[in-house]
Amino acid sequence: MPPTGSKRPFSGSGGGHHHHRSGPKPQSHNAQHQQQQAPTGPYISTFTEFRNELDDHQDRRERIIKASRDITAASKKIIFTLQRLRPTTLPITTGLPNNITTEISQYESKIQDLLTFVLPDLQDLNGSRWQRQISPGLQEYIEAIGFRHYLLTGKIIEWEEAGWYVSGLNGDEILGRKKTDDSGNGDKDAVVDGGDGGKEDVEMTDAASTQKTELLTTKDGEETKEEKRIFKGIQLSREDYVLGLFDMTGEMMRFAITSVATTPLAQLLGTTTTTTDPAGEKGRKKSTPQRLLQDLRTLRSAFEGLDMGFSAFGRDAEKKLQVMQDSVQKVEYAFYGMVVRGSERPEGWVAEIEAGGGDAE
Amino acid sequence: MAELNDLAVEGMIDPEIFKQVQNDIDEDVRVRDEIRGLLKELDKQERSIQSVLSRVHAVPASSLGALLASAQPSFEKQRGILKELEGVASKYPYYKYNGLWTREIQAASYGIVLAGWLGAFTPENEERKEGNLMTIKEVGEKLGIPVNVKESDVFHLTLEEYLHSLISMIEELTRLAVNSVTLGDYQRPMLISRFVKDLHAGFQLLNLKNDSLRRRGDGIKYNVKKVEDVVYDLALRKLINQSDNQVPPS
Repeated sequence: MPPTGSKRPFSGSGGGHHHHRSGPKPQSHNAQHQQQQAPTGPYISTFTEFRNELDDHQDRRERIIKASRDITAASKKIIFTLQRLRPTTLPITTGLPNNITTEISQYESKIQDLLTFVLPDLQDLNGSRWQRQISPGLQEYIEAIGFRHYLLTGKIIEWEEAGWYVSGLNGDEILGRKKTDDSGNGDKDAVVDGGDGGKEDVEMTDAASTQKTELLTTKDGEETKEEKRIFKGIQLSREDYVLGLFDMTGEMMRFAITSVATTPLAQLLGTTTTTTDPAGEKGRKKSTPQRLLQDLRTLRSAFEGLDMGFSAFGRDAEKKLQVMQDSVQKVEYAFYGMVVRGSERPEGWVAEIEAGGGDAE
Repeated sequence: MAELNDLAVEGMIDPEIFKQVQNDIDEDVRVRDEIRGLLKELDKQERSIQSVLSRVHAVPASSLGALLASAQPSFEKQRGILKELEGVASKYPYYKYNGLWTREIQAASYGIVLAGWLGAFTPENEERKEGNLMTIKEVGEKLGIPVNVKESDVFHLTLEEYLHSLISMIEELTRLAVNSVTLGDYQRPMLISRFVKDLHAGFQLLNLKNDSLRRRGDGIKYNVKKVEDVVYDLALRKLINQSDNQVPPS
C-alpha cells in the first residue's frame, strides 16, 4: 500500500476484509473516516452485521474462484503432459513413464492442496452456494484425470472415482500412489487406525479427520477446547462430471490426430477397420488412432443418446455435444486423409513430430 | 438405453454410467417441475396480497386497518404454500434450485415488510402504528420459514432476498409519500422521509459486489431525494411544521 498522509490502522486480524478491487464507488464511510462522523441511525448496527456477513460471503467467493482458476491451470498442464505420450497401442498397460509421472504429480499436488484449501469454504450450505464458482476447476480436473484414466485403462472414469479425486480429502493417497493407476483403491495407506471393513468412502473420511485431529489436539489428547471440525469432501455433481467428460473427448481428439500423423500407414490401418465386427478379435491389436476413433464414436453415441433437459446444464451440454461431434469428425477426416494420400507416401514414412513423452511400449 | 450395451465395445463405457447420468437429469427435470408448480400457486397469493396493499395509495389512514385485515387470508395461504415448498426444496441442496424461487421469495418478503411498515401486524390491543421495520427474523416468522441460515443446507429466506425486499419497499413508500399528500395526510411523508433516510444510511454501509442488489441499492438515493422533495414542498407552503422533521437521531 502506498503511504498516504495518515496511517489508518486497518485491523490486521487474520487477513480480514481487505478489498483490493479497483471497482467503482469507494466506500465513503471508510475512506472519509476522519472528516465525517460515524453514521448514526436506528439500523446502523443491523446493517453493520449485514455488511460483515456479505463481506464474508464475498471473500469466500473470491477464494473459491481463485482456487478454481488455479486448479484449471494446473489441470491443463497435466493434460499437456499426457498429450506428449506416444503409445503405439492403447491402453498403456505398462503405466506412465517416470518423467511423465513426476511432472504430473507436481501439478496434481498443487491441485490437491488447492482443494484442501477451499474445502472449509465449501461445507454444508456453501457447497451448493458456490458450486458454480468451483465447478470450472473441477471440470478441468475431471478432464485431466479422466483422460489419464482412459489412457491407462481404456475406460471412462466412473463418477464415484472422479468424486474421490476432487473431494479434497484424498490428496495424500493420490500423490503417494506412484503408479497413478486407479482401478484398485489401495486404502491401506489411508486408514491408519480406523476400523477396517467399512465402506471405502467412510474410511477415507475417517482418515482425513484423523489427520485434522492430530493437528488440533495438544498433548492432552482429546480434551482440547478447540472445535475439531470434520470436513466433508467437496461434492462432485453429476453435471460437472458429465461436462468434464465432454471436454475429455476434445483431448482424445487431439491425441488421435497426433497419433494418426505419427503412425506408419501400415500400422495405422492394421486391421481392416471398415467392416470389422467389433467383437471379432483379429489377432492384431488395434493401433492407437484406431482405438481412439472407435472409443470416440462409442462416446459420441452415448452422449447423443442423453436427453439433457432444459436447464443451464442442458444448454452447456448441448453446446459441448456439438463440439464433440466436430471432434469425432476431425479424427475421421484424419483417417480419410491418410487412406487417400497416405498410399502416395514412401513406405515407412512418418511425419516428424517430436515424441517428447517416449513410448510406453 | 439398452443399445448402449452394444455400443460399449470392449467395455469402454460401463453402460451404468450413462444410465445414472440420465436418471439424474430426469430427476432434476422432475424436481424443477414440481417446484415450478408450487411457485405458480405462491405467485397467485402474492398477487392478491399486492393487490390489497396497493390500495393504500388511495385509502385514508382511518380505513387502513380494515384494508390490511383483508390481506390476512392470503398471508395465511402463502404460509401454507411456503411450508410445502420448504418440504420439497429441503430435500435438495438449497442453492441448486434457489434461482427458481428467489423472485417469489423476495416478493413474499416484500409483502411482509410493507404490510409490517403499515402496521398490519400490530398486536390487537394496540393501535395501528406505521413506520416499523420488520427484521429479517420477524419476516421469517411471518412467512413461517427459516431465515439467513448459514450452515445447514435447508430452505430459507436469504439475507440478500430480504435486502431486495427492503429496496422494493423503499420504492413503494416513495410513491406512498406522494399519494399521502394527495389524500391530505401531511405527516406520513415526514415519517417516510425519516425512515427511507435511515435505511439508506444502512445500505451505504454495505460493500455490495457488482450484482442486482448493488444496482438496486444504488438507486435508493433517488428515492431519498424524491421523498425529500415532497417534504420540502410541504414545508415551503407551511403545510407542515418543519421542526417536526428534525427528529433527533435515535
